[in-house]
Amino acid sequence: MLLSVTQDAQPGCVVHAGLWAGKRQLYAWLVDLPADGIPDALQSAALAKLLDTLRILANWVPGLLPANDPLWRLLKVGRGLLIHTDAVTRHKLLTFCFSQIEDEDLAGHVLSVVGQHQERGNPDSRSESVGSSVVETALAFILGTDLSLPLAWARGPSVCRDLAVTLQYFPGSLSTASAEAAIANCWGNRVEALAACLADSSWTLAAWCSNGGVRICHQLAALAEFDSNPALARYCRKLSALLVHAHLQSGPDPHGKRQLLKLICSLAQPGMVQPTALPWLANPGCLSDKLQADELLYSALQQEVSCYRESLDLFLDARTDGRDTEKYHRQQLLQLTTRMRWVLLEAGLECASTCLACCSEVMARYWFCKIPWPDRITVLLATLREYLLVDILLHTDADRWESLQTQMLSLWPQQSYGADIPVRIGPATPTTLGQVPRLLSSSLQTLAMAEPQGFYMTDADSQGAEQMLHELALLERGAAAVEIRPVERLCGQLLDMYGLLQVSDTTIPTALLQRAHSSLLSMLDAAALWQEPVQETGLSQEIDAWLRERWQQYPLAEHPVDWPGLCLALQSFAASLGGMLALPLRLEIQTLSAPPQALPGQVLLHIVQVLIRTLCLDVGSHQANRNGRHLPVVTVFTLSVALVDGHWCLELGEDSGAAVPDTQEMSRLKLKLPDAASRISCRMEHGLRVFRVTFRQ
Amino acid sequence: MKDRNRWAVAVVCDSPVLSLQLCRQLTRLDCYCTAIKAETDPARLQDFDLVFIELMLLHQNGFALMRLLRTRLALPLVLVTGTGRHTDHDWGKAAGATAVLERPLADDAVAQVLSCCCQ
Repeated sequence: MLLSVTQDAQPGCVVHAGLWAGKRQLYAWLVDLPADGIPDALQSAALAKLLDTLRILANWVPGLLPANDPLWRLLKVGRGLLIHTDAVTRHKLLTFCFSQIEDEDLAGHVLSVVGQHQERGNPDSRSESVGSSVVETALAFILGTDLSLPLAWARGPSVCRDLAVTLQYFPGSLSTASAEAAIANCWGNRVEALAACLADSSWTLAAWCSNGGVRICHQLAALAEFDSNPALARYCRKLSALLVHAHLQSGPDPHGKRQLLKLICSLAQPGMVQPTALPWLANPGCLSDKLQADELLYSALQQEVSCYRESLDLFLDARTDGRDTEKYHRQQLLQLTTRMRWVLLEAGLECASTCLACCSEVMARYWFCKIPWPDRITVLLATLREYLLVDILLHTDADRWESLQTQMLSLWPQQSYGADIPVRIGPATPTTLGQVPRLLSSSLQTLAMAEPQGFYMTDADSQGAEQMLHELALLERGAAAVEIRPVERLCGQLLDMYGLLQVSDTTIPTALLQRAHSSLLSMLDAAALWQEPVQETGLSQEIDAWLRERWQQYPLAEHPVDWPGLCLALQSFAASLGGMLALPLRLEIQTLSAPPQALPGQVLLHIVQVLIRTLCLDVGSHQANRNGRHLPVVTVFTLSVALVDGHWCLELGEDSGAAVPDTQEMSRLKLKLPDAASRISCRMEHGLRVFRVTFRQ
Repeated sequence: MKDRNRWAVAVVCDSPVLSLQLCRQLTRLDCYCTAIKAETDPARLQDFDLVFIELMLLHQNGFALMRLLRTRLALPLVLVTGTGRHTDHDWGKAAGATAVLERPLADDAVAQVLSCCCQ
């Protein structure tokens, strides 16, 4: 027994390492058991001691080993091996142990396949059919869907290594010609798939993960392990690291791309693979000479690493204890991980740097998709914490970093693959969700420099004001699309304020507008760094109070006489209806494109009121799933009035996502309108449902 | 006494390794370089010809710092980013950056920014 536990042992790393080593030892012990599964007295004593040690380790740090970890079951069953004396029960228990030891039922499955053949009366001759069947089962596992499970995927190579050992336990099963052919076939197939992925790659890590490149590299390494070719497996892992690195750097130059493709294609040719053919990866992970000779840099690195470890500790503690501060520490950690990547690169630790880059990409992807981090990330971060001691950094070899990197990439959130759904945040062309941040950051130039007091609605600045309102509307939709609620809400409130100011003679609340703009910019700065924006306390309530108070000063006008008066009356109606129905809605009125003198104001007011009131029923029923469709909470009605062929007509658009009404519904709606409305029609345009009403002459 | 033939450059960054290495790089490019931990007092930066600001600061937002300094300083401000996001360029410029540099910082890219900003 090599394991020993002392009271002063550090929890975490030591216990984890102990558990891992214990599991391996138990596995080795089980493999060495006689074929009938009956241990002798000496073996029984060793097994008892091993099980006791594992139990102590598993209980050492509460919560370190999840309740559903197979080791708990294994500990119970392991005892059975010592107690039961009949061969059948022992064989069952032994099979169960195999099935649990690597958190997979792989070994057990393989054993059962072999067992079936044995039961068919062919127990001793290790026939070719047995070998090929087992190998095919194993290959199906390596390439099959089970490997998409993050844990199994991350552990693929080790599982395959164990599988190869398991198969060797049944001599001859790996040496058949058909098995070799099956492996070669799989290998060629995977290499072709990798070349296809590379040829199609857009050279982003997201694409490389989502098009399966990372996975195929991993499968190749697993196949090499399975084929008992550790040199080739190492080569595959290095190649995988190289490809990840190339994608992190947004791709090599065209010559580099050709070289990479050539390299991968050469893997498909038997006998052509030279594991030393990657000279630029010869020594990527060890401490560089630069750092060894540079005391200043070494000391700076120590400070930096210590700071990063503190941040990791804070996060891990908050996560373990389920504290409210976890979110804050997670954000800090995400930013520091991104920075740490460059720190390690500057210190010459390239492999560690690439690993940290992958960690930050994966973590950021979870942030972007608004998905909580899985527990597995916490486990990997705990491992990362152990590696990030300067003294350990000096001696951590490249394989460890690459293994950690592969495990981290295997946690790339599946949801992010489907994140590129079309989103309408402009007036016409739908964009994809992934492009929203880029579109916003390049579209908000006016807003970024907005000074409300000098900007507002004077003739000289009207173009700037218009642009700002456009950007605010764009931002509201964009924030809804990427689910940044505080930004969406504040944009909506600002638009409401400007909407009121446009139609009334209210004094401009300069201080409140300045605060709102300043708060919006702070939130955008945070969002641009992929941090959680936090709104200034009380600001939202103040704006709401201001809006409520102002609208109360402008009761609904009964007889508006001019266009501004009509706009004010309509806005006032929309505000009061929204408040009454507790339905967030906004009415945007387009500039009138004809002289307003002959406009039938009363009729227009009446028709718009009827339309909005009726449509609110539909809007209300679609309100609940607006977030799911990446739409802002506020429903926007857009009104435009024009003179067409001597007839006034209005168009009212709304973005609830409801379908165009059928003929019956349109007839019912027509009946609600005054006689002055001669025709009504409805169409879908740029995702809006647009109602058009033509007035009688 | 500052030699006016060499540019005086401030590096605002609270990462010891990143600021050390950037200062070394700038010194190699014949600049006087001073590393400053995240600085919000513009008065301290007025005498420099150029300021490099790290985006990923420990307890501050690099964009917000850039915006704050831009309102008080007329000299060129260069934002250094390592997030790999294209949005940093647009938003950095909107926040007032004269130029946005992306890591890893190649000597020629830094030299080009120096010559563009300090002319």
